[in-house]
Amino acid sequence: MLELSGIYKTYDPNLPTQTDLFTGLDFYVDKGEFISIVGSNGSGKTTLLNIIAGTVSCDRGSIRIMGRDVTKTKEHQRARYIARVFQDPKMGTCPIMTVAENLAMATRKGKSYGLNICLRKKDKPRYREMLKSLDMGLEDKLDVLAGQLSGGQRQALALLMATESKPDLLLLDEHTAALDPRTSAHIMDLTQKIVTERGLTTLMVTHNLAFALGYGTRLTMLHAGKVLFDVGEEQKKAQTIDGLIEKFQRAQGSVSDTMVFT
Amino acid sequence: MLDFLLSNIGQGLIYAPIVLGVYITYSILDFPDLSVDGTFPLGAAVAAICLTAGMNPILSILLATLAGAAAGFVTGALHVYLKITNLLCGILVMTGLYSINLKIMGKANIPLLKTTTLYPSDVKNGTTLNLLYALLISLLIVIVIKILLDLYMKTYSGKALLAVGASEQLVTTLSVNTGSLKIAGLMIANGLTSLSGALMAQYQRFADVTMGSGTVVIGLAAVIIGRAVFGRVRFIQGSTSVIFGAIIYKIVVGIALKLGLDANWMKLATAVIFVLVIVLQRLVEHRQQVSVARKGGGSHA
Repeated sequence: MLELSGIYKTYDPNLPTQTDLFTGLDFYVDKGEFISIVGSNGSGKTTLLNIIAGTVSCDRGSIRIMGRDVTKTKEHQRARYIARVFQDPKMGTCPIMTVAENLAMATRKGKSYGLNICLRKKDKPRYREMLKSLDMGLEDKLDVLAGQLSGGQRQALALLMATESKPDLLLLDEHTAALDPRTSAHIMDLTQKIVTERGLTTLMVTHNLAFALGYGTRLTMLHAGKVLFDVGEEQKKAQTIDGLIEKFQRAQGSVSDTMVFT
Repeated sequence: MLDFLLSNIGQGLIYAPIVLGVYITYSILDFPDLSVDGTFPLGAAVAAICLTAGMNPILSILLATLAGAAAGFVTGALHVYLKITNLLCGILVMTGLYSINLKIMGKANIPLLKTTTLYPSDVKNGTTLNLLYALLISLLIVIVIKILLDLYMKTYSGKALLAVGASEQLVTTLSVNTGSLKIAGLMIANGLTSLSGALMAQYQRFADVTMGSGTVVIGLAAVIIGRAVFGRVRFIQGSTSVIFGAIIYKIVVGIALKLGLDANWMKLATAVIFVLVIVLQRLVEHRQQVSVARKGGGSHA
């Protein structure tokens, strides 16, 4: 359902800092896959998500989603098919709007954001039910500003908002990295639950190797803009954290990696 | 004393639409829009030539508002489509408008002494009753604008505009074009500023090509005064607080003039008041933070 073919991306062309990140990357995703993407800093994980979402344009190559060529489609237009949760909760929720207003905005996705009144009283019971399923105590905070929630609550809300419109593709960009271990485990469980319930095709970038191994149906390791390692569900089960770290180190040729393992 | 208050509150209300506009661009969109220095006299110019041609005062105000919105569109388009930095877009439009305003008026100053306007003819040195009448007209207009703006801020489009300043990426992710929203915000803000200009021309009974200089500082000062006095609250209260900010600003300036300040020092006084308010605001915020910290802080996960 997602086809990236022959992707080239160079940062800072013709400058001393020129970096040729992707040189003809091919990457294919089937419908319903839940892929964990790992890789050290600078391996191209986040750029890959940015190229898919349209935040960053690629120099050459083509991107197709559900058979539609979106290579030239603007980011906000591609967003019709794609939902995204970022590491920074500010990017997935609006801090100066209440929880209910945030949800009202998210449930509107795909329709026009015109001059209809945004939040109606009759919608609130439905929002309360949606929030209850998150099990984060958010159902009592409908009228609290999103900016006043804890990081975990905001990220759970962001996840709910992103998946509410049943996107073709869900992109998770280190969405638990800013949270404490217990909260991030809860958010991961929620992610798994929502992804399974709605059958969402998901790409999850993570630095947490335990999450990468524990969740998802496929594991992809990127290094220097290339797919170093790509296994399906069965082979993924045979991998260990130590085994993955060894693969990283072999690729890097040194132990001096800035990456954080947990 | 009563006359002094009526006159200054009345003039503060004439500035209120500008302040609401600056509130949208500066506080909501995080876009310090300098083009208001050009759209204020633009509104005055359009209203002046319409009135001299015998047009209905209300209609002249509506036309002035449209002209301002068109200028706001240019500022926004320069920023969104040509990727020019926001400050520079405002400066360019403000500079360009100087010529356009002169061209519209045909000369640097149009007196409106014998023309019918919204306001009573001798409001400047007028009776208490005239001042009150003028104040009520301005108040009515400001209330209508405030209600419309508050209503707009409850719509999907208004909420999206709010969200663009605070979390632009979210709005993009919701499949909304943030560029169009920014342009819409600038059109509203500059339309409101031109509306103020049209009111001011009718109130003081002349339009002058130089009357716009310092508009943005007045607007910002009033926004910051309003928000400092009434606190950072949600939009409905926010729009009220900045309207009061405009009135307080005008009264402070009025007192300074009354105490014998040379009118030529006016712009400098505005700049100084502006800096003082920012410093005061920082002190208040700092003290609040310290007291929160002493109470043991919040429970942030």
